[in-house]
Amino acid sequence: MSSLNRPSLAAVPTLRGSGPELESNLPDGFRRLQLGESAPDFLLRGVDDAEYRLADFAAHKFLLVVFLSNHCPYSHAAETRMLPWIESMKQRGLGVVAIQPNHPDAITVDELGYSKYSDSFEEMKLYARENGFTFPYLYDGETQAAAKAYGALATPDLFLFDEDRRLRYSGRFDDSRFADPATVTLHDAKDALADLVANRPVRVPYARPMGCAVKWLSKITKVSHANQTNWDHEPISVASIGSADVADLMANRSHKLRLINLWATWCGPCVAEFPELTNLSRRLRKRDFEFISISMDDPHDEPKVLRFLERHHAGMPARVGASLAGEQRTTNNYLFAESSQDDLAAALGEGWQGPIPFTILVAPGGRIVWQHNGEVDTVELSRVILDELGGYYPQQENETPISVWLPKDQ
Amino acid sequence: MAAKGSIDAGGALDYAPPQHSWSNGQDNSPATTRLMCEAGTIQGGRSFWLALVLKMQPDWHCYWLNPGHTGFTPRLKWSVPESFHVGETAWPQPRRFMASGQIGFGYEHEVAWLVEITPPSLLSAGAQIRVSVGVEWLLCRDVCLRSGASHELILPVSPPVAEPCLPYRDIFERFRLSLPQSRDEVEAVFYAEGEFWVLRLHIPADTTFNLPEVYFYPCQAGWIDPVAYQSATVQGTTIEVQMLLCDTDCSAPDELKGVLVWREGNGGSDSIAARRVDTARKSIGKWRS
Repeated sequence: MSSLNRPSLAAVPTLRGSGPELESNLPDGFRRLQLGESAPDFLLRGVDDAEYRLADFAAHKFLLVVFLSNHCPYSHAAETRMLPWIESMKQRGLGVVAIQPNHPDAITVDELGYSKYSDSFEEMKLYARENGFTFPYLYDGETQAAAKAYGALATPDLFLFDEDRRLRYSGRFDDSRFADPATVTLHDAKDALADLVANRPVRVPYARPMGCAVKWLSKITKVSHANQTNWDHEPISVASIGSADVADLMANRSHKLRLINLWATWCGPCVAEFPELTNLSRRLRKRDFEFISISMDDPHDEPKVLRFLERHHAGMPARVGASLAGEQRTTNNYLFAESSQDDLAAALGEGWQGPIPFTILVAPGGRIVWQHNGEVDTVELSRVILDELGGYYPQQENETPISVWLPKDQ
Repeated sequence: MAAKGSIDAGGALDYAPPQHSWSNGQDNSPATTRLMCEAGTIQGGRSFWLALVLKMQPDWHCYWLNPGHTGFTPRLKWSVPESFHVGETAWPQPRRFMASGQIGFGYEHEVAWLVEITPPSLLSAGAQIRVSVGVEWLLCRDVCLRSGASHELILPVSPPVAEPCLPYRDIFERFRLSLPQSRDEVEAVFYAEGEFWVLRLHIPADTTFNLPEVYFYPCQAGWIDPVAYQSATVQGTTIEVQMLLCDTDCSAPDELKGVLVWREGNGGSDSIAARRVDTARKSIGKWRS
């Protein structure tokens, strides 16, 4: 490993004054823990409903305090490598406690596109169980006292302490935001612990945290406003559609995962589930995903359909809008215009026998991933969608890595 | 494609499947329809009744004139020879149900729409008269299924008789019991008062109400909040029903039609009664009797 690739960060930088955006995003009382300083105490509830404090980990020679979250694709990717490493290092005296610093109300809906779970305490329980956490996972979102005392900037953000509980390393786990271990070139945390185990100075004691910025409580009002109003200005339109065009949608020659929903204003189950589907669309607005609604109302009821869509702010995300030009489409909301449903049934495949709501998920190339008659279970649907899209950044999306220096994480 | 039903001269009935049969892992349609004629034969100038009966599988429901939050009003189109007169379709009293978090007005299990047909006074005995109905409806459970059917009956004409042959009288009597009563020229008004509409109408002196179970179903949708509780008070021969205004796009017509449904007695009776409110005039300010 070439030392030339290493960040020249021999000491933890002072974060105040590092940039106007960063400073303005840090809450009062925030202070990044400096090398050599003692681990701050905490008293937090874990997903096992037990309370934990620092002293509960006194039996371990080394202690890793790692800030993780349910919703963050960086956390998801890092965990694929971090969890096996943690297991292997327990026999070397490593104790681990994970702290979830985010308040769920401080997360915008469109930051939830990589996880079926947000960052509430109840969802932490599900996330920890599904991902096989073998260490306490504590909720700090109510006060964020631990996050401020440690100076956690992102998820993931690691703080490694020696036997005296002095900070010997802080920062990222490694230098890849992807899940594939082949994309890692710098194993920062692993190397730091290896130095500690070998009883030698940690050669690189700080590496800039890379992940989703901590969602501070101070942003709740702004986030709440954004979650209420971000969709108000998205264009909403309805176009007529026939069976041939539905067949074309089902062929899905796009690169997007398509969720197609048949509904009507007169259909109670459809009306009941529609807000959940639009919310799902908002969560996934930055993914290769589109929600397409096809109303089965009478064609002359188009104004009624449009009013319903407007009331639910079922507009078209910019990313979807930008993708439509090449598809000779203008909208993601349609009104079925033909008298017979037989051709429509043929276009949708054998899964649809006539009742609505009917929802079908079609992958690029026309592969039917999932379909359902009746109201959807959006947790189940989210799981299916994320299985297709992945829970972390795909490697082919060569986006600029987003680190703690930016206020938003996705 | 609509299913066809027919009746032979003897009055035998034919059951027809709905237009779109649907199975959810089973080959069961959620509903069947049939067209019935109360009379075995018809005579010139003597009115007779037809019924279109929709039978639903358990858990399914269809809708009334005003479907409530969502839903779809069934559409019936009766066809008779040109010289025949078709009366107004009689809708049985609806009930409220909760489905998918929405309040609906409509029917479960079975509903029979009735219509009175009046032939011309001169009909040739031995002739056969063709009557038909086309119907579209929406059935909902955890899903909704819009379907339709058409049925046809061929009715034989018999010479005038003193007492008509009514082989299905008992069935039709049962159907008629589910129709709201109609009283002529009953004074009724409605007016806005704060967040409420108030409907006020005179009632026969012998009417007994179980007041917590009084509910007014307006024929027009989008006028009241179907979820909201309605409160009723009785003073002498006047009943007042207070209904919460709907919260959006709320407007009321100048005249109101609907059905007032109540449980008779003071809790000891299971008898449900209903009466039509054929016209209530909108009044500005509080109406005084």
